[in-house]
Amino acid sequence: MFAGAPSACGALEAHHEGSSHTRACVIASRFLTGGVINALEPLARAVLYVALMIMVGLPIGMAGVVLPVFRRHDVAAQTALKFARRGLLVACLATMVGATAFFVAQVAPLELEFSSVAEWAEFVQRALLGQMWIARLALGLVALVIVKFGANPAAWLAGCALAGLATQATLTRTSHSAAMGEGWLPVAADFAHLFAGALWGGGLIALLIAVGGAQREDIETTRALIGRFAPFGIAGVALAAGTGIALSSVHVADAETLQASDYGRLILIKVVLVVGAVALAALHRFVILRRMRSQLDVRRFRRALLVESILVLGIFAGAALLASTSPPHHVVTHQMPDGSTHMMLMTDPVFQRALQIAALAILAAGAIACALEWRTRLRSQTR
Amino acid sequence: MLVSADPAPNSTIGTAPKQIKLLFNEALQDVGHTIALLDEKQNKIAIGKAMLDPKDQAKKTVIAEIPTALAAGNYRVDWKALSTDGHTVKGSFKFTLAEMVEMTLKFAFKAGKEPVACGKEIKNLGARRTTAQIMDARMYISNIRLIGPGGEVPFELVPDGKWQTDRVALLDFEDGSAMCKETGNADLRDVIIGKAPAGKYTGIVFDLGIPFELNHADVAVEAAPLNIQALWWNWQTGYKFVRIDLATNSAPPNDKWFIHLGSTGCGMMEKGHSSDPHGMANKPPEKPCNNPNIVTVRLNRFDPNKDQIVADLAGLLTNVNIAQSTPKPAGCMSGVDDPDCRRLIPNFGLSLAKGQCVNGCRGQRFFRVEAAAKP
Repeated sequence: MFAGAPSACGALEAHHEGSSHTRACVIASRFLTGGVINALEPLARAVLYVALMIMVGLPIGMAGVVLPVFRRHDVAAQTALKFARRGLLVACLATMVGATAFFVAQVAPLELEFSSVAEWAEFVQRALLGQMWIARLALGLVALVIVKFGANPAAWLAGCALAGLATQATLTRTSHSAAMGEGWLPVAADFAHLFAGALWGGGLIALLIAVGGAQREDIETTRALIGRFAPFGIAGVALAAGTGIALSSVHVADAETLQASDYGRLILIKVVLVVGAVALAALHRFVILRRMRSQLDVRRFRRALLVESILVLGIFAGAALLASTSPPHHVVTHQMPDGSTHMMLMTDPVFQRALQIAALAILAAGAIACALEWRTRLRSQTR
Repeated sequence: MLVSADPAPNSTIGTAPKQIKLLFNEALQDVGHTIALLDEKQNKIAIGKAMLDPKDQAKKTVIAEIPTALAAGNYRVDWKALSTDGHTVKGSFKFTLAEMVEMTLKFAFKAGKEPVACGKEIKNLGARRTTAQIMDARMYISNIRLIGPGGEVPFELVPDGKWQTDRVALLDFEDGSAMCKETGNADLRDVIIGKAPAGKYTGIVFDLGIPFELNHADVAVEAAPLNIQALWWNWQTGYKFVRIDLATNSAPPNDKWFIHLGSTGCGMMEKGHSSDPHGMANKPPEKPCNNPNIVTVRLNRFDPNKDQIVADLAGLLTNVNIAQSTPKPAGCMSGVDDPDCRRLIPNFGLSLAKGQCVNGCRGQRFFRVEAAAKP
């Protein structure tokens, strides 16, 4: 019998009470359906999110920041590319492992029993989570092959980023925003949110590779790297914050729910982490960069960058927990004349409007700051 | 999250359900759902496989057919559903299938202690103690529940092809005589006949009005009693839940005062009032009405075997000046901005601005309980 763990274990327990086989099965069963399963889903999500952040953001950071700066400063890029390639290979593998763990974590609570492999295969084929699992595995494998065997860095960086973006789209397809069926805008915001996080986090990792592994203590190159990364970082942070706030306006009904629900509290924790990371980024840009005179300063910057990256990882862990928690939707239903049921999300319009305005303001401020950074960079290049 | 279920959780029903239907707030995956039905002894009852309801394009409804007729008793439904976001939601609820007995609910239309009828003058009505007589007096009742020791149980209407469908009953207190000739007819109806689980009841809850899903139909093709043109506005606005037309002894143009309670703010047509600029008059609304104006009446200390429910016109017109009316329309037609509704609508227990019950419509002054006259 090809069965879900609990019933299979039940049968085993009846026949082989106390055997090691039974104990192992019971442990597996507890792992799959007990308290541990609650931790497995956010854990698997976190692995997926971070892996995709690397698959999408690292190639963009390498192609958009590191390689152009190295080219201008005549720095050899082989070491950085070697680190990047290794990082991407690990990320591709982690995507496949994370996707599988994610699938297991989501299927196990169903406690489904399958009488044959064919029945199980049919479930995988028909269930959206099965389809998305297969898609994630396939995309991870394609990216792995491209990164491993690609000769031209531009090609394997682009291929990996595209596969990562497609995998992010599969996550959006199974997001809270897609499930609530309120149109394409929340789904698009969800995708933009994931992409923005990758742009920011993956860019930071590219920077770490450049100033850490590949380009040690070269002050001018480091300054150039920070300067070139700034607009990418600002764009990523602003887009992540703006879309994050916009999504909160969709999933959180009012200010009270923000404080009273697990979902709302996780959002607040995420906000605190984002504010911390942004403060640190501002410190890099406006204090450390201007004071950077010695190799000691470069080492300090590297440490600060590491701290910022850890904060970003914390944000991704928060995002994984958030996505694994049900949003506190307040729904009112009405029977319609055609027999269907009309559902309305009950929300506080003032709260919603305030969040929407805040989201737009952050996006606008981000766009302006981005433009100013580009202008500064262009001027310094001209000089 | 489970939004609603049929049979409803913890409900008592009188008719054996043919399917279990679960409605969720999020879209569901095509497979992965389970529904189990268990009897009092925790035995599993064979039912169909849980599947998405093909009628629900939003994929938010799961159904499972019940092929055999259930016997009276207590049942439990265990369910699991797989949301599009990959989360499994699961839960369990109980319902009771009860044996039903036929009952008759008695109603009376009075002004204080005096019965009201066509051609009979009613004195001291409203804030100015106006004298009036009725030209029409009809109302729709739905969603009746009796209150017993274990809570509310359904009172299932017995359709008769004239006064009741299985969802809505009509009460008719005009006999088409005297001033009732213009809109009325000869028949009278002061009872509602239905079935409820056998037992002792101490209260009743009902809605004065028609559920939204039935309120926006074409009166020309509907079955009785939802086929009365005089109790219907149009598809967008629906039926007049209550129609009480009064002829007062005031001089024209204040000699008429109409009470027409119904839903408002139901669609685009009302933006342009009667001119119907959007051509919506012959279509049902696309979303629920802003002001449903359905009155939920809760009467405690009501014994269906001994008591009757009185619709008290004097109570309804408390502090309402029917000696005068702002023209167009004369009286209150449920309009949010109609000055004649300002005092009247709160006497139904409703908020004029929102058209919904204030504090469970406990402030309503229209209905009360009194001992029924012995036959």
